[in-house]
Amino acid sequence: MEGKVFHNSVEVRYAETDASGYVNVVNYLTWFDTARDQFMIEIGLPYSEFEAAGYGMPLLHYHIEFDRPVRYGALAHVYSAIVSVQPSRIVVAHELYATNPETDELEHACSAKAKMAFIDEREFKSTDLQAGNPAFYRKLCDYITDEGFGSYIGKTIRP
Amino acid sequence: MQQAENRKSLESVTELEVRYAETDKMGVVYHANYLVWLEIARTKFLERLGFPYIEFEKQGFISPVLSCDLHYGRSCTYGDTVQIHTRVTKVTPVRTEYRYRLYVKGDDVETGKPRFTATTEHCLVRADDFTPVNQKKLFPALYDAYQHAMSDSWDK
Repeated sequence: MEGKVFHNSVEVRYAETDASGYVNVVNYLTWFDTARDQFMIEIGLPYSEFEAAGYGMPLLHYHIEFDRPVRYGALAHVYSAIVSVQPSRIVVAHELYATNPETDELEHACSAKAKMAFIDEREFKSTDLQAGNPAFYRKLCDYITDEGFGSYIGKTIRP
Repeated sequence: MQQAENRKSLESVTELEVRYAETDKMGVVYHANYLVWLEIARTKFLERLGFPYIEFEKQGFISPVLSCDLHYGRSCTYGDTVQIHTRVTKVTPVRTEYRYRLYVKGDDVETGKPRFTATTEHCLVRADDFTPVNQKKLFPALYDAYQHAMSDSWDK
């Protein structure tokens, strides 16, 4: 498969659960954000460096589908991939799996797709990253991965 | 539970003051916090409908989110009071769809663009084993109230 699927594991914290007994889904968004932060470091473009150069990457659109809930005591796995890069925007997809502490099996918890804009952070306006910083842009483009990576992951990590 | 309000479509408006803790380094509300606001907006909607969410929990049911679609426009910042217009736009025995439009108090709701719009889908499950239940059968009064409170989505 072309591109790269990044992996992060997250130990569920008690503070992330709610009265339902499961993890409150709002926390998935911060896990995904952390996963994006991590792969930026992995590809040699840490977000702090991206920000220091005057850029920002706020969310434009998030589509999230929830499957099985995640429990306290679970180890969650976030698989992330850059699925599209355009001069002024980027789309990252995430697949979340978590162990079911009772059965010890990995269960699919959530699929998400986040579309973000490249902005000039000072003016808070959309900007053309390809023109403004071709090196940054190329780094991101180097990792574009087929959108079907989700089913690929599903097959790979399931027994 | 009280009688549902008049048999006409219902739009609830929930007002919240942005907390400093909800902002991030960029100076705007952190994107994940909008999801929490939607939960408050749904709770308000159900209360207006006459079916406080807490009653479902007391009876052993929870209402997890199945999907959400979040569109971010102009950011909200500290000092803003946000108003979340909330509608139920689709109801089936196993699924309820909510739509939201968020404005900052002082924005022109008639002509201005919302700061944020969203769609979320929910079901009702047994809290102990997460088994989905049929809300039409189990909570016919709620199902009926939803039917009457339903609105068109704003896009139509």
